[in-house]
Amino acid sequence: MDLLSAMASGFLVALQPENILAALVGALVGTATGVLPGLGVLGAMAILMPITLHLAPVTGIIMLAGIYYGAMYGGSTTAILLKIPGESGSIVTTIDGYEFARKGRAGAALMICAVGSFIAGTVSILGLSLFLPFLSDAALSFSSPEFCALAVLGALTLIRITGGDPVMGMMMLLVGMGLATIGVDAVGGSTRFTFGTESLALGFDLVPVALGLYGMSELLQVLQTRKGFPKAESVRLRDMVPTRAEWSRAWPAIVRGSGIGFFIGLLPGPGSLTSTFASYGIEKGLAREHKREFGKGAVEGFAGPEAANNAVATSALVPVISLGIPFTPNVALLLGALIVQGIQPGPLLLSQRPDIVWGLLASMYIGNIALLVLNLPLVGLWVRLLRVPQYILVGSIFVVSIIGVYTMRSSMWDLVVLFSCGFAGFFLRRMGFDMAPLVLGLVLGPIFEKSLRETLFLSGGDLSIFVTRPISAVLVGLCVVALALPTVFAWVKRRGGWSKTVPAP
Amino acid sequence: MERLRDITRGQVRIAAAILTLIGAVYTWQATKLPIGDPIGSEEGGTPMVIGVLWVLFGIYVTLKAPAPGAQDDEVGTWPSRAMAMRLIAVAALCGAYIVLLPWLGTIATSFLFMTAMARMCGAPWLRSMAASIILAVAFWLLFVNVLDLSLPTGAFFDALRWG
Amino acid sequence: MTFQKLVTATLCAAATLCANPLRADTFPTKPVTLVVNYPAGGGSDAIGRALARAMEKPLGQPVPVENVAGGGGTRGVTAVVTAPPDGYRIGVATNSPMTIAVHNVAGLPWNSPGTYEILGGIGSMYNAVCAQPDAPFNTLKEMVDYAKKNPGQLKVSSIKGGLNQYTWDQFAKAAGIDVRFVPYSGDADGIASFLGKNTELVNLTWPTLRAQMDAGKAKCLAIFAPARVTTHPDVPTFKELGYDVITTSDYVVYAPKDLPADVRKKLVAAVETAVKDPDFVRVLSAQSIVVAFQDGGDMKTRFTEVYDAFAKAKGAN
Repeated sequence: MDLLSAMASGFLVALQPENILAALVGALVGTATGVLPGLGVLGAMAILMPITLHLAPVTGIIMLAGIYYGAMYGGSTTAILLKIPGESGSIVTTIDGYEFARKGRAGAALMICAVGSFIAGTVSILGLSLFLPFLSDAALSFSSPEFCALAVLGALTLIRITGGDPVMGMMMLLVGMGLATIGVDAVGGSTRFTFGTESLALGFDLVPVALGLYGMSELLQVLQTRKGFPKAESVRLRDMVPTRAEWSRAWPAIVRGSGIGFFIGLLPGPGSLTSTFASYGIEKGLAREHKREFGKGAVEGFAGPEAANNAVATSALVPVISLGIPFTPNVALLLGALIVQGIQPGPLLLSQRPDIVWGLLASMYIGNIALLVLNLPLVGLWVRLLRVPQYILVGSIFVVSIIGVYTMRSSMWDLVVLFSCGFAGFFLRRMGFDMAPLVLGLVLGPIFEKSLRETLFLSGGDLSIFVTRPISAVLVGLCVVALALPTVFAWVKRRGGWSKTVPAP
Repeated sequence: MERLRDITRGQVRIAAAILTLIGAVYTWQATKLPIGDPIGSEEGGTPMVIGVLWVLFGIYVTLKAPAPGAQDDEVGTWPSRAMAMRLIAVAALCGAYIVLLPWLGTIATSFLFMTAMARMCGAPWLRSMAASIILAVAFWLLFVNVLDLSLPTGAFFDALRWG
Repeated sequence: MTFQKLVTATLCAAATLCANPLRADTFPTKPVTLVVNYPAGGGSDAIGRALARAMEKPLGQPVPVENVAGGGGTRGVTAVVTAPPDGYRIGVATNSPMTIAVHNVAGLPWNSPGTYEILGGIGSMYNAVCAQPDAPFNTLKEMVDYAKKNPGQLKVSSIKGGLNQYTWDQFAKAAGIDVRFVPYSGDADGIASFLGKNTELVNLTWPTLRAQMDAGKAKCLAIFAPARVTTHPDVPTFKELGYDVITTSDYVVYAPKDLPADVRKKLVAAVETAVKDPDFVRVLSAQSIVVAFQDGGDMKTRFTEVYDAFAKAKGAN
């Protein structure tokens, strides 16, 4: 079979000793940088790209693929152990992953994530190999009107995922969307809501806000008393292996997360974060007997999102390989690395240079395996992180977060945002305000605004464009359903309750 | 454990009102931005939509003011006096970090900050300082020399070094 | 990370701590910081880092990169321009923050290209206009005729506010056509919309369009370059078709005003050497940037031209 032989030849290349070594080094470096908050996938790849310049093309790309996956994975480690999201894709993981770890199951959580990431990566690569040519055309039928409708649908369906009052969630979502508009307007380039200050012109970047609302506010929670972080009571192997019951709950979530991530990764936009929100929402919606556990350490609540996040990492490559169009900065950098190695991704790549495409896919697979091999033994080491004396741990997390945020754009303002969000998040959370919708708003806001304005330019201000395009019309219909359903449910419930309580005449 | 004071619905209402007020200022600023032609295509359009909805939902939440939920030391209560003092100390340290970083540079500021944090976590002086100096230098090596990023060296030390 | 680099790194850190310099007489006696006005990662950052590495040899000092992003790229320029004019803080940028974004950000301590010193250009990129492969026209002239017959019917996907819109407007005015300008926030979004058949025309950077054109997914009408490109000699330039419009997106190295003459000479020489560095050429060519050293004075003239045009457009609004 053509596909099989193509893949086999790809693996022959990827399995050379130096390439396996490159995959291991990449996975290690990626994991390490993913662990550092602030310094995400992008930073790690940007900084290490020069090194790969001097390696053979395939070896260089394999190393970058390792870094790419490694950073995606590394972000979840601190999210689970310390409630510090190492990168934006692991914000959702902090919710249930951290609570799960607090029950003394940190090792098991990390192991579930490692295996889940591996499965998601595998599923995604297989999907990529099988459907590559068709997927690119499907992705192109999504344009501005569809994204706008999708952003609204995302907002409507995801605000209640972490529980809490939906109206309150809606308000926090709008606060997040509002914060996202402060500073330089990404479409036109002019500044707004700055009150003439240079600081506000810099706006509210996702990283310091999310790190503040989640990481910093948790550090304050830890620091306000002398109790400290959850201690890992034991690091015996037996306590690090998930139980049968945990596995049986994690499996379906991982599979669903992989599917969601694969689909969302095909679309432009910050897929890794939105996919984790979507996966969490679906897991919570599907849960029956364990529904009450969500937010308090449900296995599905971090197994699904972690898988989704890693599936996105692979499927986001589809538009790059097949069209030469990078939709996220991470992928843009990978594209840059490919080009430097003399590979021009684009519509012709698959037909003209199948060896490169399959070599790349095989190398991704190798990177994924390297990650699993590397991280399973590391789980014990990471869990020991919790045994580091409190007085060293707390200060170090603070300083690493501060430095990570600062180096992004050398700005003191980002540190001000980090600290203010830490304190604001700490108090708002105590008052029962949910922080997840705010972060979601910060991500969805720019997509919504950009796609809405593009749509208006495209149609010349005619709003009927949203319903005359088939995909957009379906999405708008789903938005209406999402808006109407809770009201209908509430009405049916009330009717049912009413007919029972009021005795028949 | 001492009994913590509960956060009342009135206090949640005040918080919601403040958020709504910020939304009102935001909306007022948005009205000054160009809406564009076609309508909504310039930078003022979307903020208007967001701002108006923000204020509407804000008013609703302010009026409804849901109770904060669980009553433990994480949600639904105010920090005790001792907790508040520790939080104020952390806030002061964070402020000091921002003020001192341009002058003392990354290593010295991080050293001072981590020493203070370690003291707050109950470590003795000598151990706090020893761990902090090692970590401060290690972080510098990691970020500046291994990862090739730029961090402030400090105006004070620059003056000493380069005149 | 080689062992040698690690040792050097450790020594550097030690030197920072001890604050005990060995003074030499000629510039540079300490590291020269190169400011990149975009965040770490991404095209401009890659170019900045490649330039920094290439400049280390001729300068004989480390050249650390500092990412000062924000304000549409103007914040980085401010960080360089307000530094003391001793040559220890220079920057690399495109013309976009210096000629366009500068008009949109209030309260900048610099404005026209006379308020800073351009050391030289290091590379340029051009725009082109392409049409759908099944469009009812094959040349620029046919497109203009079609647009004249069907005013407001055609749509072009491009980028708002910047050089793209500026050159398109100039061309549309000269040709006397009415085409709806659909702006996207970047090349990726713009080309995706064009490939999704949302617009008939596309006006983006040549490298982006070239890949689609080679695959038969777009037909190129003309390129906004001073001369035909060697790889595609059949694509005409706007200039030869009678529209004197050229878009060049130039990368320049700049410094604060009033550099001492010998410092300026050293820096210019270092930039000239760096531009010939094979690794540097590789990184820039990968982004389809035409690498060539260009005199700072010439760049200043070109920047001033665009700066004035935008200032006039802003004033007219």
